[in-house]
Amino acid sequence: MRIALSVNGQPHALEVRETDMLIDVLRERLGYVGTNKDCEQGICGCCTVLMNGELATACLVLAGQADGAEVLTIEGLEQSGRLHKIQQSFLVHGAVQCGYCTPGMIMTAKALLDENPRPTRNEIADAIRGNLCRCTGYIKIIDAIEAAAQS
Amino acid sequence: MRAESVEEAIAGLQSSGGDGVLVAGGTVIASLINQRLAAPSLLIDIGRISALKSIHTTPDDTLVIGALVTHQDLLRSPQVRAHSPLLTEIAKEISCGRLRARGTLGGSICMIGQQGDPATGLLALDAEVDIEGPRGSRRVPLRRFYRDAFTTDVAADEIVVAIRVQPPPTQSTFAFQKFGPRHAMDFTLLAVAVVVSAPRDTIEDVRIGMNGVAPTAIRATGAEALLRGHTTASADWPAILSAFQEEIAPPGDLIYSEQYKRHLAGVLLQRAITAALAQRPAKRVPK
Repeated sequence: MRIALSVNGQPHALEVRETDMLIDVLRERLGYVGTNKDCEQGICGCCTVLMNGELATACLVLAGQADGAEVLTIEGLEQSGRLHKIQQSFLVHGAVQCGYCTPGMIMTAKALLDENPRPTRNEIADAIRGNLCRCTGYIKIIDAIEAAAQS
Repeated sequence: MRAESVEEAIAGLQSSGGDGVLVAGGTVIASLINQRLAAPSLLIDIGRISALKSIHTTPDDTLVIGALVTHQDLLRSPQVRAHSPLLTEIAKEISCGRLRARGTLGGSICMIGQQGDPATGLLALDAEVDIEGPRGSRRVPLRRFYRDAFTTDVAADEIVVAIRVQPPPTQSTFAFQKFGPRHAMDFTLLAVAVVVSAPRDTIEDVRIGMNGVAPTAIRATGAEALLRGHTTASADWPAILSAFQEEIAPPGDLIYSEQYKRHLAGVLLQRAITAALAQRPAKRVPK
């Protein structure tokens, strides 16, 4: 079947299978490899994107569900060569080690700050409860999101 | 296919000869497809049927929640919070934001029945399920909705369209307790929701919905019977817990034994009842 969607403001149209997932459409078909793929069961959060303004688990979005959608991925946060303040904060605060969870973390953080511009540390921790990180121990990620909120 | 209406969804189910799968949020079926555990012959996307997305209260104060209402919608709804705050409380602790934004109440009770949190609160609130199909509409109490593990009272050509919730008894309080291996992001091991009516400290009405202690979500009617008529002080917890153990049969799994789950279920039940009894009833003006 044919779907049409916009990714980071760019329109795309392509033939997909009914059981294709958005994560593979993004990475394999459209070349947006910033979003990562891991558990494919919706547990790890590394495939988190924004779809029509809401957080979505790209490995669990069937291609047909993305038809007509506006998708924002990590690549879409940079504006005119400038990193988004959340991206910058992650770098400055040492919140990136292997980087695998990072795009999902940042998209989740963006959704949080869009809704709650001054979250407490507990609210930040709660917001990222669905994003696994095996490297950092989460503290610097929370620091980075808190600092981005305050900047 | 994409269904733009309930009628189209039903037609799609009929055309698939029983193998079609309705896709609401889609998180469960997508996970099963990814794990090669499901290969449906027909996916019917019902996610854009706006008629199934509303939350409204009827003139007789029934809260009607469309099957496609997400956990996030429930959490954010002032109507739900005013009518049945137990459901708001349950929605708050489901999974995480990205899954609450997609997961629907209809999908939860149909696909995750015996592992999902909302079923416990809906059972404690005596909810009903509205179902439509080629043979017409029908309304089923949630208590009769679960047949056995993975089997609900929805035929292969039917669709759940709404969940109806009567207001909790006036002067009632509630509590919700759940437990899993981690604080978040595991399928809940055990969940209990209680609605207690105890004006002047005597339990006049108590309803206990539980998940994880039987093949389906259940009402713990044995425990309810032994609580009724008692006060916080006079409740005979050894007898209550003994009756409770008779009516549950949690399966042991790779991590937790049956005995551990039995013990834990009793602990959660007692905590939930105690917490509900310790609250002052919220003032609620019926419509």
